[in-house]
Order: sequence, then structure tokens, then C-alpha cells
Amino acid sequence: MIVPPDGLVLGGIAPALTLLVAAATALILGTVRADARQGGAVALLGLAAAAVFAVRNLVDPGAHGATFGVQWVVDGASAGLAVAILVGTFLAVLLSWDAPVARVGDRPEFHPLLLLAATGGIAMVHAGDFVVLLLGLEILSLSVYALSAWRTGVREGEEAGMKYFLLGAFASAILIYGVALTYGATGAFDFASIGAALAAGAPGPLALLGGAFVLVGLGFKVSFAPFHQWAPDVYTGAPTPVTAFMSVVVKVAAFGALLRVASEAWPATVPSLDLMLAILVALTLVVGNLGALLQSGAKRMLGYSAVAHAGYLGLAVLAAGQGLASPTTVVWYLLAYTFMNLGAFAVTHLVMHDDPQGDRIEAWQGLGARKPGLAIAMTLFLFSLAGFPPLAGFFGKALAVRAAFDAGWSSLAVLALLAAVVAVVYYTRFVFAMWFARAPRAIEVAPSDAARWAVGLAAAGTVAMGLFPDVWYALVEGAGAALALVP
Amino acid sequence: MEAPVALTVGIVFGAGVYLVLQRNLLRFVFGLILISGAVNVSIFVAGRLTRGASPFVPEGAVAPPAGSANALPQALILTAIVIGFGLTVFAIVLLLRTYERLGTVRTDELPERLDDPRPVDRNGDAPAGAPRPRPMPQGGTVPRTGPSGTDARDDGEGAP
Amino acid sequence: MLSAAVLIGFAVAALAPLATPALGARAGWVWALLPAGLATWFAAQIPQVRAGAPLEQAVPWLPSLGIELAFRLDGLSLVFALMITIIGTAVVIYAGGYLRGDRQLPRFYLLLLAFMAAMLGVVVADDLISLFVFWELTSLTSYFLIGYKHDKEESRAGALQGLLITGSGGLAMLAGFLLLGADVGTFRISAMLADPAVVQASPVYLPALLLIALGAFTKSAQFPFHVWLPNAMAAPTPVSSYLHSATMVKAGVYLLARLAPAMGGTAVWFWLLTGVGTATLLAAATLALLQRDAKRLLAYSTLIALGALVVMVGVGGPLGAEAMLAFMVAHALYKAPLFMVAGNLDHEAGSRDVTVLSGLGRAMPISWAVALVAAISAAGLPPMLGFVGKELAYETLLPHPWALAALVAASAVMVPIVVLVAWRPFAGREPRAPKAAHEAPVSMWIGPAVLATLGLGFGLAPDVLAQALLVPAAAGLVGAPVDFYLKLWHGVNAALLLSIATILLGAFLVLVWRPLHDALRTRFADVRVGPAGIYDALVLRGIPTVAKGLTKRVQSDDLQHHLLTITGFTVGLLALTAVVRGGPTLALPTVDGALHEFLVLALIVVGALGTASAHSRLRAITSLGVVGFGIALLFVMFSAPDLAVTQFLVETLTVIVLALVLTRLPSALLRDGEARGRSRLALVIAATAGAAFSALLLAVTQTPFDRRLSDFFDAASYPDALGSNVVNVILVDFRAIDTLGEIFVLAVAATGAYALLRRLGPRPEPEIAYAAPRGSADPAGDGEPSDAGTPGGRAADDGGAGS
Repeated sequence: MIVPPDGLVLGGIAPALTLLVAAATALILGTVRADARQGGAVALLGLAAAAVFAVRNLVDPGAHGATFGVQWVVDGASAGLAVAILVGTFLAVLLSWDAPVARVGDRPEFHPLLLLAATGGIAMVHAGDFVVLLLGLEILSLSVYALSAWRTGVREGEEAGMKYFLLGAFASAILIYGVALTYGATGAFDFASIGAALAAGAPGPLALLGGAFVLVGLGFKVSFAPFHQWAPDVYTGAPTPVTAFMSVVVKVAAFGALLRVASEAWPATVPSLDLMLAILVALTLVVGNLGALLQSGAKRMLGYSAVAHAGYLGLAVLAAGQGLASPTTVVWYLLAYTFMNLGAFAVTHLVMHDDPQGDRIEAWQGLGARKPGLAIAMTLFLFSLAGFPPLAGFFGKALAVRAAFDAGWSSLAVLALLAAVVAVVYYTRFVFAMWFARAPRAIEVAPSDAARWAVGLAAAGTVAMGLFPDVWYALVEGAGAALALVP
Repeated sequence: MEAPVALTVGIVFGAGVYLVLQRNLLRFVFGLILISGAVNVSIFVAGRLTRGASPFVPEGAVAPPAGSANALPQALILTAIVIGFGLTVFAIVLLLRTYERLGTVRTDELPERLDDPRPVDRNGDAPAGAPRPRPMPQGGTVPRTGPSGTDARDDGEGAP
Repeated sequence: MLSAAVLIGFAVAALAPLATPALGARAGWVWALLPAGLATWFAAQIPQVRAGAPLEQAVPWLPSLGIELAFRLDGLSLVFALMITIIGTAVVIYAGGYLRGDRQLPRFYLLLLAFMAAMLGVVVADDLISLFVFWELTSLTSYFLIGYKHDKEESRAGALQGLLITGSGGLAMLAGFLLLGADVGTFRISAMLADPAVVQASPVYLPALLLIALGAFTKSAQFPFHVWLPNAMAAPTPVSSYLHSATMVKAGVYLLARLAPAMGGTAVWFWLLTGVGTATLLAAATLALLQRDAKRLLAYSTLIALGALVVMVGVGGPLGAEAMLAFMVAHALYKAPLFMVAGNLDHEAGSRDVTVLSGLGRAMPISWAVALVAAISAAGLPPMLGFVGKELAYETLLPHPWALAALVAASAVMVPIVVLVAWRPFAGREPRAPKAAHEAPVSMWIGPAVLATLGLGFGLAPDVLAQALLVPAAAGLVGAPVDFYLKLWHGVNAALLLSIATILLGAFLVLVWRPLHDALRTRFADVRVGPAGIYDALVLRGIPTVAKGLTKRVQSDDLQHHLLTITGFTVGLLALTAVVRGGPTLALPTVDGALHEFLVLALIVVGALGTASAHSRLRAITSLGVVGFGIALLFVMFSAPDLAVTQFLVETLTVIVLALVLTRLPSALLRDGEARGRSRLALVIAATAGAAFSALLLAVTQTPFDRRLSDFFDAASYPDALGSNVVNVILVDFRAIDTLGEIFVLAVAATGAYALLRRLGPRPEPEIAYAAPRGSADPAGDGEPSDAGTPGGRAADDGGAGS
């Protein structure tokens, strides 16, 4: 139930507020001074400060609990996901530091939009009810729409950004309708009360239908098949730093929201909503992996790979939603995913340089001989995405599959493992090109030290999470990631 | 009175869906506006309708009289209306920009007008080799020429 | 210490690319210090392991989930560890000569040493998850090793095939591990071995066994997964000899042997292993007759040995364990030298085709001598260890005549194989070879020579080997202490007679080899049937075809197609839910409205339909406005004045913005029609969607409503927040965060819109500049009319609600 707002915990909301202040500062600075790097610097500072608050939320049990009624929940899961969002945004800012997308003086909105998007994402993962969830979703989405339509030189970006927006607006409407139905059936917007009402025998079928609409709305954002169709286009069309950003931050935020809805609002409606989620997960695993198999451009391949990973994450959410696996699995996977996926896009960005076709497989040939550092990093990212031990992606996939076994979805788990075999093929194609093919020409990569830093940090994260998985796991688990499960 | 209102918003929603399914982006935006209106009212209806009893606390009382309208969904709808407005404005701007840059607002004409420099295979169905006209996936009448050589995958490197 | 022994390999491997260039020609000798040192260390553990005190060590990895890197060195692990390190030493030295001057040698040592370390990890892991981790690392590193000569298409295809088959088998194995571990409650191998009854009584025993066996069979190239092994011959020879003799393919055998005490002994286990092993024996023996490339011949002989090993693990028991271990060590000691000699032929004489080469014995005497010693062991002749192993294998299989017959036949095929590899290229007077042959450098014969000599020495004194290694190892395989005594000569018994029969049959095959080979080759020349054909059809053609078909179906450029997918799938999900859980009930609604209410509703309907059918801008905007204002009236009638005010303001602004923007677009824009079929389809979908929307909403309103939450706000509004307008109190007090968020949505929309509009083009028109720009400078969103309208409009009502 709603608690009167006397026990206001501002610490919980501090990361979001810090980002807002940083966004406003960067925006004002951008209109006064024409150097985008100042905006970038402000963004990095703001992100670092916000990360301090988020980590404090994670390690300080006193900060836990809901604030503003139950609208803003601070626990291990939300604080952990907030950290993942901040890490992703930080790396994206580094990546775009020298990139044309942010460099030119007349674009002071770039960094503020990144920060606002991150704010929206943080709101989504902290949301304790549907209203905050919707607000966060729209803040995030609007920023990303604008960013994904950013590229002006290549018209593909315009088309992709527009389609993404129009479909996204439609999906949001579906989501709101689902919220309306759920509200009508349970009389509540907050997840805990919805869960309690359903457990107490509120009209099941209607809440379930509401849940189905919510699932579709969020499924669009996390790119579950068949709602994923925007992903490859938008990933290809948007400027690569933006793609890198959205591929991780949108995913973290949307999965965070889905995780909370699934484990707090829906547990009582188990059999059928889970069935729906399972169908979506199965479809996503198949479509994502088979789609990626055909791609010869790295960005598009990573677009499908993002869909495929949504399948594994969905598997973990499915088990966590049934209370049969720890939500920490999802949180862990999402930080790992942030490192490896952003890293892969970062290398792609460097390799593409100014050539819009520069991500095709031919462009990767001989990278191992010419730029061994980048090639090693990319190999790490791709093998991690493929799920090879002992890299971060291995634990992501393995924990998800294990959770599925625990939850009794053995057939899905086996499908996930089969899909992982297919994944080996499309990731290793690029590895092969890098190491086992002769370079047809001299390879010129984008001259950006900041972007190299982003690659290095992401690679360090990918390796460190694989070698020392328990650091992050124990931190999140210790902060009480176990969401309030309705008995 | 919930039933007629529910029926009405169903019609508004249906009209919105009809518009959204058109190939004209302007109509798409109109459809979105209708859909978001319909969805807002659906929250209102889901919170049940009350006549002539706004959720105000009368002078001297500490709570609204029993039987007042449900205030909670109203608060949410206020938020939703404003969000919807933000989306609408953004959609209109995006539409305007699309038209300025691409010269059309029809979705079936968009890909054709994109002088797409990168041959990216969308469907994975194009054979390797020379460019050839591809029929529209469905319903369209305009045959479109794939951008220079829509080869799907490099058979040499190819997946196995 | 044990963990260090495994992990140091990775550390040294990481140094390899940096240090190899500096070491030059000595690189092979220097890097060989690692496996040699490790071999020494493992050998030093023999006394402790023999005493029945295995070394154990666990390094926590993911303790929160009970995952750790657990290592355990018992007799069984020790045999494998010694094979890996001793043969590894020979291979590393050999590679230094074989690949001298190769530009990629630094990378090669990185991969080879990492592979060795991963292999060691597999055999000393005491935790199923750790085992899987090292297992996949061997797949990964061997992928790069097999694909080392990447200029060749054959090499790349072989590498990928190996990775796919062993990698996917590994994943199946992981599934089995997870299944079993979740049920038994531990991933510790030693814990499972300690309590086999629990494992065998588990309801998941059978599926887990099948999945784990799948992993072992793919790795150990058992029929029908054997296809990858011969194709992996594209690897450079040092790699082939290592993969085939002591590592990679032995991992599957190791896994089966390791789990035998826990999972073995059942009928399923016996028939699965002996059946698959026998099939492998027979298939490999047949296919071997088709080959004339020295390395491929050896590859098929490896398959024969692997089949035999799996059969013996399946039979089990003290005798089976003894036979399997002796056979395996013998195989490692003769197979590695034979491969290296084949590599010497390739390297020094320019070909591996045994029908092309002859008379090289004079030019390459040491290689020939090594080849002969190893070949005698391979053929199973005394006084070699190979003889001991084969005799024991026959003895083990005596109770199972069908398996015995297969083994005898397959062993007979070994004779022509070794004659072809170790005799034909060397014998004869006239050297025949593509290039002038000469003896290989010392680095390329010292390793094989030592190994072949070991085979001879252990053949003469087999009990030294048995007491030091095989007896403790057999205990690990059987699950209980075992004692046996090994000797070369067992007297005249059934096994010896069978050996003699084998040699005779083999000699016959040598005589008829040429015609038989030619006949078989013409018969099967172009046939790609069997497992290889299935692999081709499935992996090379099947999956891409399915992928294309599926992707074509789900992926489209078309926006409307996406929308249809979303709506269609949503409806499908709903229908499914209704079927599974029963749909909501819908009673006939009661209607009790006043006339003016119906008029407002009619207005909304007219507006909506008008918008849908509008072909002119004016009509579209007007109709939209009618709908919006109708909704505002609805809010007025049903006690929501705040909503009404907001709706009026927003609607007005929307219409203004639309009107402004539409003047920039040509008026004919809405006039273009849709194809009739499409239009009708859209109509049907829209009508269905609208009806469903109404029906669900109606069903919701017919259920009892839980007003508790609303009552709370009603009750708390005035006492807690001193506000008489409950809606406003909720917005600015109880749910202030929503309102804050809402403002930021507008700020983002304005910023985004501004960013897009700024770069519209070189001609800044007043309208564009007007639509949003000023608001963007102010994220609080009240610098500009369109933003200020809503929050401000609401704030007007807040007079009494000050907080």
C-alpha cells in the first residue's frame, strides 16, 4: 500500500537528479560555447557523480526502501541496473568524444540528450509503479528517437529513426492500454498492490490481458521477436556511438522494468503470462540467431545479436518472475552485456572510421595483423557475446540457462543452448576475418584516443566480469536484489 | 454509462488503427493522436465514471463526500495527456523533417528515395550477384531497385 | 599448487606472442620448458597419488551460486596430465622445427600453450562447471589451431566444422551437467563419485547421461560425429599429432572414464558405449581403406583406437579399466611419433601421399627408425606396449563376441595402415619424392624418438608403468581400489590366438590393399552420404536456408508490415491466453445515459470517422479537433474538471502546431489513395481492434472495483497535504515525482525536436524556428507556450494545495 511521504529518501533519487543537473548544465553550456567537448566533459562528470550515488545506494542498506510512496524503489536490482546504465552511458560519451556526431559546434544537444535518456532509464529501473515506468520510458524513448535520427549525411538514419519512433509510440499506446486494463481490474498502479490484489483473487483473466498488453509494450523495447523488427534497421541507420548507447542502455532499462513487473506484479498470474513470455523468448532466440547468421555487416549482425541476447535475458526474467531464480542473474547479465556489446560497437565505430560501409566483413579482414590491439579486443567481445568461457558472456548465458532449468523450462533451455551453437557461427565469422584473412588494403581507423579508452575499459570489464564474476554478483545480491515476491 | 463510452473509444481506437495502417505518414500521425486519446479515456473508464461529483474536499470537511469521482486515474491521465502531447509534437517535427529531406511522407516511397550508399540486405533473400529489381514484400505496386548489388552474404567467408 | 599448475599455462601462453620473436630459432626449446616442467611436477606427485591421497584444491569463482574452480588430482587425472605434458613437450619442440620462420609462430605458441593448459584443466577439474569451462576453451583454441593455415578454404572449413561439432556437443554436455547438478544438488565430481546411488536413482539420470555422452562422443569423434576429425587434418602436423594422441579427442574418453563410477554399470551405459564404440570401430576401419594421405590414414587409425577405448570404458570393471588405460597410453606413445614422421615426410619430401613416395629410408634414416618402432606398437606386435594393450583389450571383450569381432577386424586394418605410413614411403632403393628429401632437423626427430622408445621400454617392462600409474588410475575408473600386475607375455591363450589371427588378416589386407583401395575409391569417390553428407546438408545448406526463409518472413522494410505483426501477434497472445485461462465474461451492458451525453459521444464518433476518411488537411485537422474537444467534454460531464482543462489546452495547441506544420506541406498530400485491397484489409483489422478494445474495456468495468487506493488518497488529501483538490494533491504532493518526470518528458521532446529542426536545411523558416526551439534552452520547460500550457494550466488550480 501507499505510504505517506513522510519518510522521503532523497538518496534513492540522487543519481537521476544528478544526471538532470548535468544535462541542464551541458545544454546551457552548449548554447553559450560552441565546443561540444565541454558538454562531454560535463556529461562525464555528471555520470561519475551519479555513479557515486548509485553505488552508495547499492552498498548502503540505509538507502534501501521505497520512497515517494512506492513509486521509486531502491534495492539491489534497481541500484545495480542504474550502475549498468551509468557505465553504458559513460562509455558511450567516451566513444562519441571525437566522433563527428558530437563534435560539430552546432550540436549542443547531443550530450544532454544522452544524459536525459540515461535519466529515463534510471527512472524505469527504479519504478515501483506503472506511472513512473511510463514516464521513464518516454523520457528514454524520446531522447533515443532524436539521437537515432541524428545522422544527417546518410538518409538511412532518417528513415530508421522515424520508423522506430512511430512504432515506439504505437507500442507505448499498447502499454498504456494494458495499464488501464490492469488498473480497472485491480484498482492499483503500483506493482506491489497489483500483485497483492491478484493474489487475493482479483479478476484474473482481465489483469492477465492487461499484462499481455504490457508485455507487448515492453517487449518492443527489449526487442523480443516479433516486435524486434525495428532493431536491425535502427542499429544500422543510427550513428555508431548512438547505436552503441541505445543497444545497451535501452535494453538495461527495459529489462529492468520487465523484471520488476514480472516479479512483483505478475507472480500470481503464473501459468499463462509465463507461457506468453516463454513463447516470445523462444521466438526471439530463433529469429535473432538465424537472422544474425545472414548478415555481413557488423552493425546489422550486432543488431540481430542484440535480439538474440534479449532471448537469453528473457529466459532469466522468466525464471526470476516465477521466483525460481535470483533477479541478480538478470542484473549481472545486463552489466556484462553492457560491457561486451558496447565494446563491440566501439570497435566497429573505430574500424568504420568515416566509411558508412566500413562495417562489412571485408573491412575486418586483416585487422589482426594491422591493429592487433583492436582485433584482440573485438575477439574478446565477440567470443564473450557468443558465450565462451571464461568471459563475461559465458556466465550471462550459463546463468540464464541454469535459471531456466531450475524453473522447469528445460525445453527452452535446450533451445537456448542450440541457439548458442548457431551464434558461434556468426560471431566467429568476424573473428575469422580479422585473424585469418589477408588485409586487402591498409586499415585506417578513426583517430580517437577517447574511443580507444572506451574499448579498453569495455574489454577490461568483459574479462574482469568473467574472471571475477562474484564481485558484482555478491554486491547486487548482498544489497537484497530479491524483489518483494508475492507469496 | 461505461458501456457507451467504452464503445465510443473503441471506435476512436479503431479509426486510429485504420489511419496508422495507411502508408501516409501524416495519416499515421493523426492515427497516433486518436489512439493516444482513446487510451487516455480508457484509463478514465477503467476507474469508473461518476457524474457531478468532482473529487474536491468541500469547505469545512476533511475528505471529499462519499461517491465522489475517482481521483487517482485522473491524476494518471493528466500525466498521460501531457506525455501524449510531447509525443505528438515530436512526431510532427519528425514528419516535417522527413518531408523536407526526403520529399515524401509515404512509407512505400521512402526506401526508393533513399540514395542508400550501403548495400545492406534487409531480407536476407537476395542472391549474391548482380543487382536486380526486387518486388515489394507485400501489396506495393512500385518495384524498387536494390541498391548496388544487394548481396546477402559473402559466400566465401560465409557462414559455414 | 594444483590450480597454479593449470593456470600457469595460460600465463606463459600470454607471454608467448611477446617473447617468441626475440627467441628466434630457440623458441621451441624454450617454450618446451613449460610442459617439461609441468610433467616433472606431475611425476613428482606419483607417490602421493599412489598412496591414495589425491591433491585437492578449490578456488572460489562465483561463490554466491556455488560455482568454484575445483581441482583434484587422482590416479586417473594423473595419467592424462602426464600424457598431456610429456607429449606436449615433444610437440612444442617439434613445432619449433616444423614451423620455423613462420610469421605467425608467436600466435601459434600462444594458442598451443593455452590449449595445453585448457586440456590440463579438463583432466584435473573436480567441478562440472569448471570442467565445461576448460572443455570449451579446448574447443576454442583448437579452432584457431586447426584454422592456422587459413589461406586454405579446406582449413577454414575444417576448423569451423570441428568447432561446431565439438562446441555444440559441449553445450549438450553443459545441459546434462546442469540437469544432473540441479537434481543431485552438487556440481562436485568427487561428491558424485562418492555416492553413485544418488546419481543413478535420479529421475534425470537418463537424459543427463545421454546429453553428457553426446558431449563426450562429439569430442572423441565417435560415430556419427567422427566427420570432424579427418577434416581437422588440415591443421599443421604438430597440432594434429597433439590433438590426436594425447589431448582433444582423449577428453571425451576421459569424461566417460571419470564419470564411469557414478554413471556407469547400468544397461544403458553399457549398450550406449559399446554400441557407439563398435560402430566407430567398424566405420573407421572401412573408411581407412579409402585413404592414401599419410595423415588421413593416421586420422582413421585414431578413430579405431577411440572406438576401442569407448567400448572398454563401457564394459568397465577392473579388467576393462586396466585394458583401457594400457591401450590408451600405448596409443598416445605410438600415434604422436607416427604423426610427426608423417609431418617430416611432408616437410622434407614435399608430399604425404603414400602412393607417390618411396625409397626415402636412406635419406631419412632416423625418421624411418622412429616410424618403424612406433608402427610395430601400433600394429600390436611384441615387444611393444601396443601389444600389451591389445592383448588386454581382447581379453576384456571375450565375453562380448560381437564387439570382439569388430575389434579384431579393425585391428587388422591397422596393419595396412602402418605399412602404408611407416614402410612404403621409406622402403626401396630409388628415392621417389616431389623434392630432394633429407633428414629432418634434430628438433623434429628427438621428440618422436623419445616417445617411441618409451613405447618400447614400457612394452618390455609394463609393470613399471602399471604400478606407478595405471593401478591408481584404474581405481579412479572403477571407483574402488584395484590391484593388478602387468606383463608382456601371457602365455598362449585366447587373446594371443586372436592376435595371430589379426596379424594374418592384416597381412592379407596389405597384399590386396591396392585393388581393394582402388575398387572402394571408385565406388565411393563422389558419394557424400552418411554423417558427412548430413553435416553438409544440415549445417552448410539447411540452416542458412531456414534462416533466409524465416528472416524474409519476419523482417521487412515495411512499416505497416511491422505494425501488422505487432497487432497480429498481440491478438494471438490474447487468444492464447483466453484459451488457456478462459476469457473474461461480458454481460449485456445497461445503458443509463442522458441525451447530452450521447450527443457528446456521437460528436466524438463523427470526429474520429471524419479523421479516418479525411482527404483534405482542413477536414482532418477539424475532425481531430472535434474528437479532442469531445473528449474534454466527456471529462467535464464525468467529474474531471482538471482533465477537461488540460485536454482543452493540449488540444488547442496540437491543432495550432498541426496547422502550422501542414502549411509547409503540399495540400495534395492526403489525397493519394491506397490500393483497394490494402484499404479493405486495414479496415477489417481496424474494426477488429476497435471491437476488441471496447469489449475488454467493457469487461473490466463490469468487474467489482477495488477503491481502497483511491479512498486512501481521498482521506489523506486534506489532513496530510491541506489540499482540497484531490487530483492536484496527488499530482503535486503524493506523486510529485510523476509531475517532475512529466516536465522532463516535455523538456526532452522539446530538446529532441529542436535538435532535429535545427538541421533541417539551409533555409530557416519562421515556423520551424517556432515549433520548439526556445523551450529547449530551458529544460524546466516553461519558456515557451507549448510547454508552459499544461503544467501551468494545472497549477492554476493549485491555490489551496500549497505544499
